[in-house]
Amino acid sequence: MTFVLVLMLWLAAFMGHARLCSTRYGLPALHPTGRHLARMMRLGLPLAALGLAMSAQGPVMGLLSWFAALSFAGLLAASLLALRSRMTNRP
Amino acid sequence: MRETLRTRLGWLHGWLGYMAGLVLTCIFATGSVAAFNMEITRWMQPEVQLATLVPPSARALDAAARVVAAEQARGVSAFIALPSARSSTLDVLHYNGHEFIGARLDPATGAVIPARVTAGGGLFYNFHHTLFLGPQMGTVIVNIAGIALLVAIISGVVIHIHALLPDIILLRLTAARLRAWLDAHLLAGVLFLPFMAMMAYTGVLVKADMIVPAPPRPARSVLVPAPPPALMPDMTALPLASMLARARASLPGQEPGFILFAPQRVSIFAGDASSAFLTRGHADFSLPGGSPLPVDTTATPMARTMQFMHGVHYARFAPPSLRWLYFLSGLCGTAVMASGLVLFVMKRRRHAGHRGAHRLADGLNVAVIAGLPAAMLAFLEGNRLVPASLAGREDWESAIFFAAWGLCTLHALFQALRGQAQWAWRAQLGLVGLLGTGLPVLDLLCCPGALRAQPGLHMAVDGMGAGAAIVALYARHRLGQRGA
Repeated sequence: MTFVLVLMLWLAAFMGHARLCSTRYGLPALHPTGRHLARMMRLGLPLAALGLAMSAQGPVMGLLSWFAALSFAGLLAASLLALRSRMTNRP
Repeated sequence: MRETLRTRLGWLHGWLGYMAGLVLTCIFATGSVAAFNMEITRWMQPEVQLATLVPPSARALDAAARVVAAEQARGVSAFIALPSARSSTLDVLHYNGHEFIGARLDPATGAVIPARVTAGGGLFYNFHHTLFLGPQMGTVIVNIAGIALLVAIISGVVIHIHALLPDIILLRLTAARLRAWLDAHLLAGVLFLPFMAMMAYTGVLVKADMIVPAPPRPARSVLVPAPPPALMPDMTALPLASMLARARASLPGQEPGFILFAPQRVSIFAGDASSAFLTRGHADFSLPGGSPLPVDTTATPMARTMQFMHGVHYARFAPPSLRWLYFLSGLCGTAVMASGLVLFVMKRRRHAGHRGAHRLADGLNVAVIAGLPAAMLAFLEGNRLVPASLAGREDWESAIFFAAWGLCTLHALFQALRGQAQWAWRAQLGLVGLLGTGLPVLDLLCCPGALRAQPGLHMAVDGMGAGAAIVALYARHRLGQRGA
């Protein structure tokens, strides 16, 4: 369960990153307030995930889980964005 | 200047990555599967149907000691592996040069379970760290490949440094084929960089003593004859149950895992699952009396660091959830290397596609990326098809693995050198699909009792076979759509 939460936090952080690089990922541009929020998400959520993983699973397991969540959440975010891009490009 | 550095590193990343990548793909693939080596061994011994963990009884320990004594009478050095969360039997094992094999006993009664002898998950483990080339040469080659992986990682990071963070989740599947492959390679490469770097670094360190020459030992004087080998005392009279109870008390927080026998002592070692530090803490008892011997358990900071490196690399402390993460991360690392191999060949196809060396590289890619999974699946199916009572059947299983892989390699090279690599890809991906879908069927037909006794284990292994089949058949379908 902890891993799923950590994964979700990382996924949200990656989505915030994609919104910040909106041109690169083919997403609509954000308002300044939205950019501020996305920047906070990108910085704060991985830290929150690290705190959660280490407090729930201990330092070694927590760190390993945190890195694994980074990897799999990144794959998930990239897949979701690629899927979205394919859907929007479909004639 | 900067572009020159990037160009040079690009050349290094490409060529070193390709040469080492052929070996590293095999090392990573088998290493990922070896995260479940004990579970695969359990799957390959369907006669063992003990689902719950029972502590070993005194009667069972005495029976195990009798088996050890019988093995020693045959000149085989055996040890006792105690039941654990990953293996519920009491085992008397010895090393046959490639794997640990031996008798499995019921930990409650001490009765020998008539389980088939199998190479088990040990084959993948052994291949992962020695390539089946023996502990000396194989380990050195694997270590050199590990160092090459570290160099490839560092050069890859430097080449991609500008876009490393902005493009971290960029995947353009609708772009040109080469671009899409490159995106996939970069995506998985960057995201799984921590895992790959950690495994490469710890993997090189844990076997560093094989490549770093040890200081020369003082030469034995030719005038002093070597002492004769000491005779082992009678093992059948040892009070193993009371020794185990005392060892448990002297290893706080650690569960005993192995019992090793030497002429003057019995050593009870902590199991590897006890902590992330693979300490191998132990309690020693004198022979034949069985009285406790003093043990120095202090570890220097360097030794403690190495214990941690071992622990993190082998992940024997990890619960099943973390073990799955190791397995899946390993598969993604394998995909990074496999996509790198494909990219290397794709990039050079236009200019060098007609050359024999290019075709050879294409063929080797097929043999590694499609041939190896086919051989792994053939090995698992061979376990069900080779008669359970056949003498030396573990060698037959290993032979099936290598014969299947060898045939796949010959087929891939033959087709690729004729300029028909696409046919080799399609045929071997189809073979993986066939073997993968056949695995659950064969398991159900041959061992329905084991499937009922341990459904989770069998569903996981059979499911992995089916998963490999789905991926291979999808890749084959895509190849058919777009050409090689």
